[in-house]
Amino acid sequence: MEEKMEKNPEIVGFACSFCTFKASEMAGSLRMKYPDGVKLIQVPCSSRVDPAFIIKAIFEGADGVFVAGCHPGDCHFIKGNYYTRRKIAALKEQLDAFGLKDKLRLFWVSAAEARRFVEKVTQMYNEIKEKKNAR
Amino acid sequence: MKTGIFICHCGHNIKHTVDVKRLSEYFKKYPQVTVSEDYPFVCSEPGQDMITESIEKHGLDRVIIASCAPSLHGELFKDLLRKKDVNPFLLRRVSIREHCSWVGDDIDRNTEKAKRLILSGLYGAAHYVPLEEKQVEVNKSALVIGGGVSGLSAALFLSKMGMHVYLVEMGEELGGHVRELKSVWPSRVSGAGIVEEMEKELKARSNVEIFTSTKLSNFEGFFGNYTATLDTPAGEKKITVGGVVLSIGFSPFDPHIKPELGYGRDPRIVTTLDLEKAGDSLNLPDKPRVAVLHCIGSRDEQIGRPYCSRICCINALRASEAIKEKYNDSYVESFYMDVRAHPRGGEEFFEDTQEKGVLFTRANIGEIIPTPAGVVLRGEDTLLGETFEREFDLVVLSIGMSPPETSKEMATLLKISLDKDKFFLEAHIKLRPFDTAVKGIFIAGSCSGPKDVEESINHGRASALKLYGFLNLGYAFVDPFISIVDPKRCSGCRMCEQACVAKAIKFDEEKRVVHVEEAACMGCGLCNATCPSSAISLKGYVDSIIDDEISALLEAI
Repeated sequence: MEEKMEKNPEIVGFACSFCTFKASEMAGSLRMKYPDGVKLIQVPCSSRVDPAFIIKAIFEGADGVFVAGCHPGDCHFIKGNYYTRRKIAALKEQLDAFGLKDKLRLFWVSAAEARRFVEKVTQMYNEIKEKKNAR
Repeated sequence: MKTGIFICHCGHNIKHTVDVKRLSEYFKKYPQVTVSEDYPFVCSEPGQDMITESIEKHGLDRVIIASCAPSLHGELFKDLLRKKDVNPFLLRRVSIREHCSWVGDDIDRNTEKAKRLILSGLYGAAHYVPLEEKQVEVNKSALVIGGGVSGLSAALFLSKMGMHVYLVEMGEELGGHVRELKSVWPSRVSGAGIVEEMEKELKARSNVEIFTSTKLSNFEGFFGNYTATLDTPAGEKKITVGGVVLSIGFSPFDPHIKPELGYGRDPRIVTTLDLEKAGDSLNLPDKPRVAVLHCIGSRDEQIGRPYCSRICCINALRASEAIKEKYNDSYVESFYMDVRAHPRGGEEFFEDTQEKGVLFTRANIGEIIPTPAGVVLRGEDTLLGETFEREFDLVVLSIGMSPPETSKEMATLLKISLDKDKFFLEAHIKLRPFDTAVKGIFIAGSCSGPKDVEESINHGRASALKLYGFLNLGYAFVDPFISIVDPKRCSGCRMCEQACVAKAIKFDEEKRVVHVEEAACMGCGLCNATCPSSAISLKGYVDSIIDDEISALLEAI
């Protein structure tokens, strides 16, 4: 049996510049490792993420998209992340109809949580990779 | 469009795991790229010269610097563009160190990732437009929240530099916890002496207004023009200030959280603060047996306080010394995890205490049991690996620092962040230790992590100095990343108006469209994502920029 080439997923992440993006900077400074398939786009607040961006990323071939913002209650803009939470929940329902629900994730990472950032993205990457290679 | 791409090796930091030569060669094929270079240190002087010369020689109108994270050297690179009369908002920073070379090991895959990241910068920057930094007038006054040593030193410094200072203290008198200390190590002067001297000096100054028993009830505005509402005993008072020094200190750890310590159940179990207050009223036998316990409420993950409180080892040493000095024949045993006598002279003090006859036992104390004959300590000697039970007449708990009780409330009011331990988070732990993420709000003293008296005073002065530097200019530039409405597209549905947290969006009844009040807009972009007609855009993060960045990360190249 010929061994199949392993497929690596591409993941696009929208990172709030006040928390997750800072955490990712810190993860880099601390030389933590995470898969190179994870690439970030910096946004001022997770609420800037238009559902259209997520749909666009999925249509253009992203295996996964995540939106990451500050923990509930910690938003620099007071309650931007509450809007994000509702928006993502609504979008997930829509995506479910197309069987794409698993591609989208939302998580909260504070600026101090470099380790959590790495854990979250690595876990997401590995789960998506497993599914991608199972086909 | 003439874009210049400059790729930094950062010595070996980037070059080691990213093929920078391959990258700079690759981008030369794009028609919009005029220059594509790699250089050992772009931030060095020759590196800066290379950029300015390229801008001049080729007339670049977009500059992409692929190097460290954008939070580092931000203004430095913007200034290069300003020097050559290019709008600084046509600069794009791409982080290929923190987000690429440091997080992966495979050189080929890292190079591919860096290529994508730079490409997204290139695509995004294509939509950049020149933006004008807004100049706003700054109110030359400061609000100092918290009247402990750090707050007092900050207020004193600012007032001496000619700023109008409002000092707000929640308690009835100024001085905070330091006022309660009978002798402050190492100078051995009384804490009350220190704060009273500062208080006297402060009260003699005409440009200082002190509010005690006062709380901050509301806070809004932007750098240079914050409006604070104070809840004073005489009623509500509104003040306008240019900036804030936040110095609300700490809460002493409450040993009730650990019931096995028996605190509160027996008068023979006291904290270092209780001992300080009790003074001579302690009822001890002539040859007292005293146990001093280190690290109470510090380095304890079970109760969510994994950090070292820094001050309690010295406090424990001071307590043992005081007892040894008062009762010559006393038996004092100190139970420690590690002795971290870190301040200057601390290690010598530790040795002195040992010479005076204080015994040090490395131990974990499991339980404290008060009995009529004495207080029994049950624990494990971690050097010998043996359990023990010992009886004492007095147990002193050297308590650590917990974050201030009002930290969460204050963080919400001022819109600043807390770290995982609920202390206030600095903008950068090394490069900007006094700043918060919000411009004009500085943190001082132990509300940003445990500090001793000397450090708190220094921290207060340093924050005051940084705030003074901002205020003294009399004006400030604010980021132009605010929303703008295209009235031709606006349908007047007013969804953005409801969404806007800053209440910066106003509806024009006559024209049936909305507009953004620039001064109030915080730049979150929520309205941009909400608008069903794409009529509102957040400058610097418009839809086309993010759309093309997504494409760059995913398209076939």
